[in-house]
Amino acid sequence: MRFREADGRKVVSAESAESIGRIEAYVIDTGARSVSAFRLAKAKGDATFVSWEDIQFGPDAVIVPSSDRLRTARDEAEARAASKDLQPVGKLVLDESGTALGKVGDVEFDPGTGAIVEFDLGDQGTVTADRLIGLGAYAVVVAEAP
Amino acid sequence: MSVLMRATEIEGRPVVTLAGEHVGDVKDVVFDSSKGKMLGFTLRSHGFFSAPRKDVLAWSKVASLGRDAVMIREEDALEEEALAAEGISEHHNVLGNQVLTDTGTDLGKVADVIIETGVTAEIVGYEVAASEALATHGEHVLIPLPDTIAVSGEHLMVPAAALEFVSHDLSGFGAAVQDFRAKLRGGSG
Repeated sequence: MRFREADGRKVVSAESAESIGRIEAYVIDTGARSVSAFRLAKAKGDATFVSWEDIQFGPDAVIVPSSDRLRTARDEAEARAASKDLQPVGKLVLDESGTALGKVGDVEFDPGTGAIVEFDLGDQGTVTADRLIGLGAYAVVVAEAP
Repeated sequence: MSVLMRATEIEGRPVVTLAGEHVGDVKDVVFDSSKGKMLGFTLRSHGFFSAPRKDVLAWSKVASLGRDAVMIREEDALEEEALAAEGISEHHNVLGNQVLTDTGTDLGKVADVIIETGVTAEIVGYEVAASEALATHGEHVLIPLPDTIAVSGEHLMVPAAALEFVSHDLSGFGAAVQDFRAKLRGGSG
């Protein structure tokens, strides 16, 4: 599953069978190289975050057991991680030696586990997620090509 | 691995942490003028993560000086205070200075400083706009420096033997610097 494909995907409560929001942003745990939470658009109230553990990423919808799984950001770091600044798509990719590799066109993740698989740099090829070192407002920093 | 580069190439290059945050841009290259070593960079601060006084980056804190960015490990690699003012000169201060041989020949004016970067960063040469003393008058040529030399001052003195090791581009210059230094170490023999 790709970020661009997942963007705007509806999130449905299993309990009420109602749509409770749409995926708007990804919280990426850089150390774990995985999606740890989503921030939703069109959610009612301030609780716009949902943890990966609380969802099931289906082929057509993201299912949560009930709308009470929605929560606010855990801390400032999580709020920042879900902000536009730290969304990887469109961001410069630098390797740790300081050479630019391209820009992130899309991100592939495993819908079963949330693990990030690779960054798609379009014509510049792909970078596997095991090379991820940091994700900041300026760049995605990755290890040099093996 | 060591790489040769011109000081002016580094100016304006973004300084980025391994976490992907931009902390500033290189403003100038700073030398220890008595030892011919590059000490680091002064920075133009950037963004709200950088405090206004943290404006110097020591070479020892640089993880990698890359083509597109200077990589550092942590934001706190930036120094609170400027490097000690004594014996320090910024790259811009030597530009335009006259290079003289120790036998009194004017080789031209400094257009750039050539740095060899590795574990340490050393000044290995000057790029000068060649004077009439050189066959390539008017062109830019690269002049190798001894291992220890004063990089600042109104006049920059180089041994006359440096003339035999002048290069026209960076690709052959590393070898020229080594040969020149080997010759100086060998003395008259």
